[in-house]
Amino acid sequence: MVTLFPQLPHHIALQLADAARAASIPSLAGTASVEHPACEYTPTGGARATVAALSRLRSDLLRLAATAGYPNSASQQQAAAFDAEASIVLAQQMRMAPAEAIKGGVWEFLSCVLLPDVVRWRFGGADNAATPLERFAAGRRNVFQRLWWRAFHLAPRSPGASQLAELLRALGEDELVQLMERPSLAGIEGLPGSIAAGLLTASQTYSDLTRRQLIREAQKRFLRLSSFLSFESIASGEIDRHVKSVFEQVAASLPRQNSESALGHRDG
Amino acid sequence: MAVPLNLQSELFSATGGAAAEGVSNQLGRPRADRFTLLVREAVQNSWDARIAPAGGVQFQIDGYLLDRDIRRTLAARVFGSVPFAVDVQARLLADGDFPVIAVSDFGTRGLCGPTRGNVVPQPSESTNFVDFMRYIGRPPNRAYAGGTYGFGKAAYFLASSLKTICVHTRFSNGRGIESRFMAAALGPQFESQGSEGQRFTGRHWWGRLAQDGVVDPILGAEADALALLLGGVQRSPDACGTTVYVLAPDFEGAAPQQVLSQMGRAIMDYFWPKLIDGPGHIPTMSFSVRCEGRELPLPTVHEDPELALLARAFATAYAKAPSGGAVLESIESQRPKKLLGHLALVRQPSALMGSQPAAGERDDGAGLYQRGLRRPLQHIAVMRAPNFVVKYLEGPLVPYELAEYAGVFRVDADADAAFARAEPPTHDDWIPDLLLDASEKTYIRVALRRVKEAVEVFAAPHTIEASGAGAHSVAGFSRMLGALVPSLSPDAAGAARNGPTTSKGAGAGGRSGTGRKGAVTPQVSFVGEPAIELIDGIAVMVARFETSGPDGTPARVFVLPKVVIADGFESDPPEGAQQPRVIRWVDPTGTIVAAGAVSCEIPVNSGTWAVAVSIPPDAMISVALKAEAGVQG
Repeated sequence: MVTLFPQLPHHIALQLADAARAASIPSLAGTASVEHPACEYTPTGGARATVAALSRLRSDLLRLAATAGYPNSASQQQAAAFDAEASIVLAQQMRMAPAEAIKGGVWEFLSCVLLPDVVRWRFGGADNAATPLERFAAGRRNVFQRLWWRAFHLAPRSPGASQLAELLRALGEDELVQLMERPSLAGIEGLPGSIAAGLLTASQTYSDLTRRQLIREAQKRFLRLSSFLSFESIASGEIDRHVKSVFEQVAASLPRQNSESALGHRDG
Repeated sequence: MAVPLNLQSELFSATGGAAAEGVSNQLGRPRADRFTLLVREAVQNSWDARIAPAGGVQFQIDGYLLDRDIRRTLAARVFGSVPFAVDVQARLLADGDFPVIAVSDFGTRGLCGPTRGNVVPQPSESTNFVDFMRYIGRPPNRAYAGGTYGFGKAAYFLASSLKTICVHTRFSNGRGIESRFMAAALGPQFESQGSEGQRFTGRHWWGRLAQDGVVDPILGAEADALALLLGGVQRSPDACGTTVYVLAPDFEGAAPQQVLSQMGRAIMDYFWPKLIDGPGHIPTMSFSVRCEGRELPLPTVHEDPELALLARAFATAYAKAPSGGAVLESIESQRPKKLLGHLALVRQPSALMGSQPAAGERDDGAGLYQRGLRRPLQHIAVMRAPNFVVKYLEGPLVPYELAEYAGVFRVDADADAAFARAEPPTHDDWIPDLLLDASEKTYIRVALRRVKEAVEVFAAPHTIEASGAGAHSVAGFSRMLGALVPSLSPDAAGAARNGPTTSKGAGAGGRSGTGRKGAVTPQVSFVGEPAIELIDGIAVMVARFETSGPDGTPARVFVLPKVVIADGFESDPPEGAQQPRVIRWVDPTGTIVAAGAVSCEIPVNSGTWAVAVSIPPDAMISVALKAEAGVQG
């Protein structure tokens, strides 16, 4: 059963976000709510999210945030860990059609009504600077929208939650951005997940190459292939075979540097 | 002669029958005022009664007041007995004005045939008299006739405040001209008092009581004399035709002359095609409206701006051939397949219309007649075979009112019957729901919808055609326009065309693509589709091309291969990946002229050359060619 989440009208989201971006985390925690009178729902196609489900979503994400330091500011590593775990929770608890997930109101409800304190905490900035509006508003930088879509794209064609969780935990921010930034590749069902898994394997096989090098070069070669190879139409086993072959070519053509420390290693 | 006419009031038959009020209500609740209704009904009746199939009908309306003496005489001779609730005698004898509107036609058959509704007519004998005076609602037996109901005659009674009319008709009985005169009224239904009480329908006739107790029309000289008494529309002794005298028309306080001139306006608005639908655009009908014997000017088709534009559309729709800048479209139904009619549309700039008000607006607007035609014109006249305007459809406004347009939709002869049946008794609309036959319903709906769509397309502004510019470059035109831009010197505008000029500043205006000043760029073009071949085991794309330019100028052709990726061309190739590279250049004789070079010197106009570019195993490539003027020698 598909769940329909409340959608906050954009103009109201902007008002709430404007008030929340510089507010204190405790005060936002106090105003956080599972409902807002202005919320709307997609009229058909599923059942509306219950108050209990929304409460659970909030408490689970809040627990993850607390593990990562909330309400105190998170280290880079803590933030990355939160993102990975939050992606998993969002993917598990927000089972939506993509058509629903492109509706900005869904994400603005999460960031402005249900979890404003978590947004403020996750992107609080140094010295308690105001949180950028784009983290509250809908868009690719919305705290929860970006995590949900990340999980959506990485998901394998056939459900295998354990593999998805593994990928989300193992991949660094840079690698995830690399995987997501080309819509012509990221939009192919199963391909980003296969490339990500291939990347993790290749980084063990070719330990003299950084993951960053591997993913960058591999993406270029996938772009070449996708111009005449329809990844959408071939079986996941075939995709995996192409992925393996591409990483082999990447490894074969990259000049080796003995000193790994010469390259900035920003993974994790 | 001085014997007063006999009155007969219709009794209800045991089986009921129609009451007079029923007759009055047969027109429903018309949208038009009662005089427009009268005019539209009367003109149709006159046209249907024409003697010559081609036309030749004259239609005339006279409005005047009756003298006191005449009124007294009428009260005694015609309306000596009056029935319940019909005040005609009292009104004739009262002090106020007593107007009459006489509606006459000439060149028509007159109300001939039997005078009794229960007499079976002889073969080929017409039933005009009983149709008009006796029956209530009769199916038409004339092809393509204007009126198809026979209910419309209620319009004559409705126009009279007394619901009373007198009819004088002259017709040929085969031996000579015969005259008939009869008065009739539609009053309320009523019952007589007493033990022998009877129920009356409210329909009354004045005439001569026959021996069987039925009132027949007055005949011969007495009929003509009575007509003369009523104001007598002049007819030559051998002329046929009918005059209906509407007694005491209800002007609702308006001046008689105003009502009459508006009736003239209505005649023109709905029957203008009759003035141009004869062979060579001659009239098939003529109209006149007179007030106290004085002719009132009618708008003319060619001088009235609205009618003039409509007439252009009519000529096209009627001829079924585009003419005079009008657009002609066939209106067809797909299922069932049938040609329904033709739509002609014509437009003109609004400015052409000038600023003088339309004829209808010159009349003071307080009148009864609401003219449907307004400027800017956006009206489509819809009509059937008789060429009467059934109604005007209003199309969308042309944006900014820069232009106005008019159209005519004329039903095809084959579909005429269906459209005729779709008309209500007032003949001023087509209502598909009046029809029982599903196909016919479809015809009406489809026709109205297709006409609407065609008009919307016609009225929409022209779309700017971005494609299809073809070989005609606007560069030359833009250069000419360039001379008009103040910031460019006139030299600059001409530089590209005229080559080097003495002005140093002119170079700034030259086109950058030209390369060296004064040099003519050679052109290169592909010949056919590129081919995939194997050269020494390497997959290559072979592109064939020609160069052109002034003879003797050398050209240098560059090949620009690119890797195509999913969202464009590759700008940052993968580390160590193969790139497309030029393998060789081949001249028209098949000789390899160069290998590995990205450019090659090619004599212009030297035939079809080929260049081979390697295709990396993991990539799709595209090849572009560019020609530059080569180095001399």
